Formats: sequence, structure tokens, C-alpha cells
Amino acid sequence: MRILVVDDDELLAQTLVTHLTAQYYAVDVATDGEAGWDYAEAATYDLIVLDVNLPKLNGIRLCQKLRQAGYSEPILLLTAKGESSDKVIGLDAGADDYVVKPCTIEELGARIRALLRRQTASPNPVLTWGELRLNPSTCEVTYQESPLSLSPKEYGLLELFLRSPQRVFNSSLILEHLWGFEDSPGEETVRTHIKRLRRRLKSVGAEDVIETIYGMGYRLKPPIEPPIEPPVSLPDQARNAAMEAWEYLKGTVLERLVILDRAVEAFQAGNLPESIRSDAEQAAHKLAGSLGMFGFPEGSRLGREIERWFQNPNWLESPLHLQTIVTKLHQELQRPPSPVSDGLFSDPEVEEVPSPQGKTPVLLMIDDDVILLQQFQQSATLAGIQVETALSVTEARMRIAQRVPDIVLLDLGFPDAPPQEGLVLLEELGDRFPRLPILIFSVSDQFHDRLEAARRSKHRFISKSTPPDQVLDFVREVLKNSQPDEITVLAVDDDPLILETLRQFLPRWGINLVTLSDSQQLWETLTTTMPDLLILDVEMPNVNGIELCQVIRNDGNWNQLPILFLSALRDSETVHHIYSAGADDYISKPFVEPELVTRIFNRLERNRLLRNLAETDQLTGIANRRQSMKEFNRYLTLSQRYVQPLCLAVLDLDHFKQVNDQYGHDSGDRVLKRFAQILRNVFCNEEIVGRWGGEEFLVGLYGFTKQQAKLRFDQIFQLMRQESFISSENAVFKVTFSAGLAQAPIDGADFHHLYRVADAALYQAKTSGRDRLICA
Amino acid sequence: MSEKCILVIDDEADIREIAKMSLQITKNWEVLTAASSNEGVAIAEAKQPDAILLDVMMPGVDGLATLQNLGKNPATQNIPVILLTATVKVVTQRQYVQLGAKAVLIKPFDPGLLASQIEKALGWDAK
Repeated sequence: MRILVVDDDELLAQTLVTHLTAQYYAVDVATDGEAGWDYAEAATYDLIVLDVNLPKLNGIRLCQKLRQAGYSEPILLLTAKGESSDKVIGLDAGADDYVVKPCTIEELGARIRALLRRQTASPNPVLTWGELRLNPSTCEVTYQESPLSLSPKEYGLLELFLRSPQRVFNSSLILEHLWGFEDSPGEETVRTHIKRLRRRLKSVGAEDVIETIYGMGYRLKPPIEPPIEPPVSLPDQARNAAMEAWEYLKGTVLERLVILDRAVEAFQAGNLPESIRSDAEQAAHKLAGSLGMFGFPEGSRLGREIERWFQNPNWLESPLHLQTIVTKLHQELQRPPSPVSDGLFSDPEVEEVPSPQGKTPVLLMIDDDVILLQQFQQSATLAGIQVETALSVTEARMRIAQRVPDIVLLDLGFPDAPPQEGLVLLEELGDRFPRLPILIFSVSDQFHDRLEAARRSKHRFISKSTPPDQVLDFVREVLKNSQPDEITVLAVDDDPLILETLRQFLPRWGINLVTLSDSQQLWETLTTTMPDLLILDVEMPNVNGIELCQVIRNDGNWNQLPILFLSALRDSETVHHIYSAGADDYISKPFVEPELVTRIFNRLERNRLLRNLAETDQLTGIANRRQSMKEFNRYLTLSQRYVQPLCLAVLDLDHFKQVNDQYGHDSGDRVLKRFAQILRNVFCNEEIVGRWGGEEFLVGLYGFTKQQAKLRFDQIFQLMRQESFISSENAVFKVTFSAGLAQAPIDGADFHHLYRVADAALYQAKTSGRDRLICA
Repeated sequence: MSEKCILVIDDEADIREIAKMSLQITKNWEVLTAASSNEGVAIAEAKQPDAILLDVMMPGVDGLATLQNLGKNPATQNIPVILLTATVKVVTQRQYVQLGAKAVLIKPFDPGLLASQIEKALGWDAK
């Protein structure tokens, strides 16, 4: 720091210079006002001490002049007069402080330090940088509390940097601040001093205090703040604790891995005994259920994959896949656990049995025609269907083991495989996933294939010449109809919070939720969403829930819709109103997730039972007249759209009146039941089998021409001929049937026409000797 | 919220340990543990916990049988039971709730969120 003392009292000036130099300041002395002005103009001073009584230019005037010239550093006035007027004039002239003479040199030094301190940002008299401390009043420098001895110039340098922590000083600026006129050296000296200061600081461990800004000079480096550790949240603390616990709990976990290894070995040796298989399945299940919690979410996922494999070990032919995933699990557990973040577990990979709304359905195409597969990939993406492909039956098994698709498109004719392989797969799939829809895709279009496939499982055919778009339309149609478990719930509430709560948890239960905040839009929404259940709030603006409920109950289309009320009102009068308006159930707010979900499922279950009753024939358990007609009409639409044949057969048991008369109605009923059972066994789920009334039955076959369908009925004639019935009186008797067959569209475009044509053919079959089928 | 007392019934020591740690650290709840169904029912009778975390797959008397035993026992039938399972099929979970479980939590659970999942499932967070 450089200070200018302007005083004509040489004794005082000299004492002051001695004192300030001891404090490592650079000091210049001027003995009159004009000289003082010249000095101040020529150099940079961090502080100026002015005597008021100066020859040539007095201190007050000099002070004013300095301030007018823009001098902004502190000015301290020395005055011999104790008169307050001088002090006031002096301060008004721009001085920062004054000291009345005579004074002690210590007081003067302290005032100077105080003024210099004002210029720095810190109010602390001690200057600090990290753990480096410089005390201007004692000139002591310490680092980490141990003293550091510096030469006056080194001290001055350090103080200069510490007082202006942001500022960049070039060499000449440093010269001006630290050296007086008399001993001003070259800039090279500055570099030497900086170097020495750095070395001294480094010797006590204070490294990198002063940095070089290339081309500009030197600056105090911002001290490295010790990083403030963010407080660890409680959930993270728990997660960390779990990861630490891994060290002492991993023993039991690793034992389970040993069980898996043993099973892999046994499997590779070609002999996997049931006991080892089930142990391995259980071990994998436990690994899946625990690893994630220690910070191995990938470990849990692999565990689940291994568990799935051991559930169906013969399913996969290649032992390599199993070996690979077990090895991966070993590798995963070699690594340290990694911290998980919120939400990683909140949405576990859930196996949906029916694919829920909003999730892309997966179509597995099993075909060796690479070009066709590519075409499908492209069209399917547009149609919102994810296509997975398998080029061989083996690959198909692997894909299915990894992930069960929503629908399978299977080509039966693999040129490279034994002809039966596709059929074997078809049978396996039918056993393992009875509800998985399978479409048979064949270029050969050999009728033998079709018949065989229809016998083995019960699935539909698509000719390979059908364009991909049409096939995908068909896939979508099948998907829509094969998801009876998909549930849509419509919730009407003006409280967005309630709707949001429902939205948070209902989808997790496989429920497709539609929300509506304005009850006036209810009718439109009902028809567009076709909900399985309606949730209503009692109090809503416009139309309230009870009124809505009454209107719905009086509407022919919707009076069967289950209605559940959510309400904060629980007085008996409101509850009474709710039920008398026709509500099925009532839950008070605030509600708890399990309760609401249970009530919804119970209500739907009851409704499904009722609907089942309405659709099935009580005696035989197959579709009743209304339902079979409804299903037939649906297939009729499909057959028109895809230009596929659709056959309608009308079947009638021969001489059934005599059976009833001769053997009793009990025996008659047993015949009806058995006949229905045979029909149901031979035809697949997607084919229509219904009881039209009395001893008359109806069969609908999609994708079959009359000639092809006739061959399938041959099987039924054979089975019925083999069947013997025993009456309650132990009389053995036989029953035959006759059938008439019509085909859409050639015999008729709608159900009534087709029925009339088929019925006429049936009449012909009866008159020409019974026990036969006649094509119209 | 007042401190809760939770009983964890699981034959796997690591699950018991982590569940206990997790509930203690995040909520300072009291946690009791039992390694078998019989032990669990006895503790539930004696200590009347606020909720029971019950593993489905246990040797001997399994979780579902334990659920029924707890439900039949007048001393324990009012204690809410949450099933812990590594089975992620939605349909299975639905069945569990219909059998009387208040909720189903999937293993592996997140040790950081187990307590809040319990609160949410039992409606403890609504008040």
C-alpha cells in the first residue's frame, strides 16, 4: 500500500514515515500543498494524509482540489486546532476523517488502517483468504494458524491482493502501490517479488494464492470453498443403508446363485430333475424380489427372467440362453451396488395378462420370409402395433419365453423345417397360452394344413396374399375382441383432485380410466367410451350426480351400467337418496385405494355373471339364440370387409321328439348337452356354436367355404355315430343329426337370408334320409 | 403423524433387515420382525402393530394362509395387512386384494420409498 503524507512539520512527517514503513507501507512525503498536489497527480496512493496548515496551498483547498480531480481514495486530515468549525469544513471538503494534533502515532496508525479497511469489502479488520490470515494492525500473517514470515515487500504484495480480491494488478500498478518514488525499481523486480511470495506461501502449504492472468497481470485466486455437502434426504439415507447392508447380507443372496449354477449345470448335462428345477425357480424368484432393494435393479430383472425360464424349462431348446442370463447376473453382482433414485421402483415392469389400453400391443410374426416381415414392420408401426419377428420356430420359442406377445401370426409352411414343426408349436402355444390369439398365415393355402390346424388349436386363417394393411386390420379386430378383461371406468367429478387421484392408481389395476369434469357432457362420453362402470360425485354444478343416476337408470341402453357413488356426504338421507336413485354402491370420501378397487371389481364381477346369464343357454352352456345371432352378424361384417367366406350351418337332432317320449326328458337333456359339448370341442373359441332352440343348433365358420366346412362336419357325424346314450332305465340308444349349410355372400348377404337357405338345405337332408349334411 | 409400529413377516432375513432399516430411517417407525407365520401371528396378537407387511412365498404356512389366519383371529382381524410379493401379474395382485389384503407391494421395494408406499396404501397420508 502506498501512502502520501503532506505535512510541513518534518519531525512529525518523519515519525509517521518510520511508523508506516514498519507497517510495510510505501510512503512519500511532500512538505507543502503544491508539492502534495504534484505527487498526487504523478502517482497512485491508497491513502493521503494532509495537514490543514500547509504553505502554498492549505490542506482544505488541496483536499477540495483532489476530490474535484476525481481522487477517490481516503483522505485523512491532521489539524492542530480543536475547533469544530475546521473539522466541519474539512469533512465537507471531502476528507474522510481527521485527527487532532497533538496525537499519538498509534492512534494515527489505527485511523489509517480503519480508513483503508473501508475501501475493502470486508468489515473484518483481519484480511483472510481461505485459511490464510493477514492482520494489518500487527502485520502478522498466518496460514492454518501457523505464522508465516514475509519481507516487507512480500507482505505489501499480499496485503494489496487481499484488499482487492477481484482486482487484476499489472506490474506497473503494483509498482505504484508498493514502491515510493525514491526507490522505484523496474517491473522485473515485481515478478521476482511475486515469485518469492508464492514460494513462501507454498512452503506452508498455501498453494495457488495468486494467479497469473496471461497478458494482464496478477490476481488473488478465489479460494476453494470447501464443498458444502447437500443434506442427504431420508429416502436416500435408507437407500444408502441398504447398499451398505449388502456387504454383510450378500452371503445368503450368493447362496441362491449357487443353486442357479447347479441347475444350469444339470440342464446342460441334459438332466434337470424336478427338485433342482423347483429349487432354482424359487431361488430366482427370491433374487428377483431382493436384489433391487440393495441397489441392483438390473439384478432383479435378470432374476425375473431366470425365474420365468425355470417355470417352463423345456420350452426353450437352447441351453445357451439360460447360461447367458445367469452369467450376466453373476457379472451384475460383481459390481458395487448403484444408488437408485425416486421412482425407479414405483412402476415395476408389470406383466399384463390382457394388454391394457394405451400400451402398444405386440404382434409376434413367425415367418421365414424376410421381405414380408420388413413390409409388416413398416405398416405395423403406422397402425400402432409393435411387431416382433422370429425367423424360425426355435427363435419363436425364445421370443415367447422372453415376452409373451398379445397376438401371434404364424406361417405354417417353413421350407427348411420338418412340416410338422409349425403344428407342434401351435399345439404348445394352445396349451400354454389358451387365450393367446393366433392367426395362421400360409402361402401354401393347402386345405390339409387348415384342417389340421383347426383341429389342433382353433385359430383363424389368413391367406398370405392378403395385403399387410388388411392383415393388420384383422389383427386389431382380434385384439379388441380377445380382451374381455379390459375394463373401462368413467369417472365424473368436478373436483380435479379426485380425478387426478383416480388417474394415479386405477390404470395400475388394468383399468382404463376416462375422466369427465363437466357432467353435461356425460351422454356424449358414454357413447364414445362405452364404460363398464360409472363413478359419480353427488354434488356437481349444473346436473348433480343423483339426477344423472336417475336419468341413466331410465335409459334403455344404459340402465344396466353399474354406478358407484363417491361422496363426502355421509348423512343417512343422502345415502338413501343415492340408493333410491338406482346406484349400486356408495363410498365416502376420502377413500382408500384398496377399498375402491375391491368395490369396483366386485361390482364388475357381479355384472359379468349377470351378462353371462343373459348370453348363454342354461342347459348346454353354449351361446343362446340372441348371442349366436349377434356373433354371427359381427363375423358377417368382417367377411364383407375382408372378402372372406362365412358359412352358416343349421343342425337338427333326428327324431328328437321320440327320444324325449321314449327315454324321458332327462335323457333328452343329456343328449342335448352332449351334442353341444361335441360341437364345442370340435370348433374353436372364435367359431360360433349356439343353441337356436329345442333340438336345433347353429354353427358359424369364418374363412371356410361350404366344401371345406362340410369336411369339418364329417368329424361330427362320426363322433355322433360313435356316441351311445343310456337312459335312466339302462336302455342304450343312438342319436343322429341332419344339417343344412349356406355360405355368405353367395347364398345370402344377411343372417335372415342365410338362415332361410340353410334351413331349406336342412329340410332336404331330413327328407333324403337324415344323418347327413346338404349344401345349399 | 404419530410413530407407527409395523410387523414384517418374511422368511428371508435380508428382506426383514432392509425393510426394518428403511422404515426406521425414513419414518422412525417401530419395526417388529418375524421369520415365520406362527411367530408373526403371535407377535401380531401380543403387540397389536398398526400394519403387517406379509411375504406371500414362505415355507410352511405361506403368506396367503397367514392372511386368512390373521383374518379369522379376532385379536388380529382389524390389523391391515399388506402383501409383499415378487410376482408382478396384475391379475394375481387383484386376487390378493380380494382375499383381504389391503394392498400389494412388489418386491424388490425401494428402501427409500417403502414407508410412503405403506402410508399411501393405507390412507395414512390422507389425514
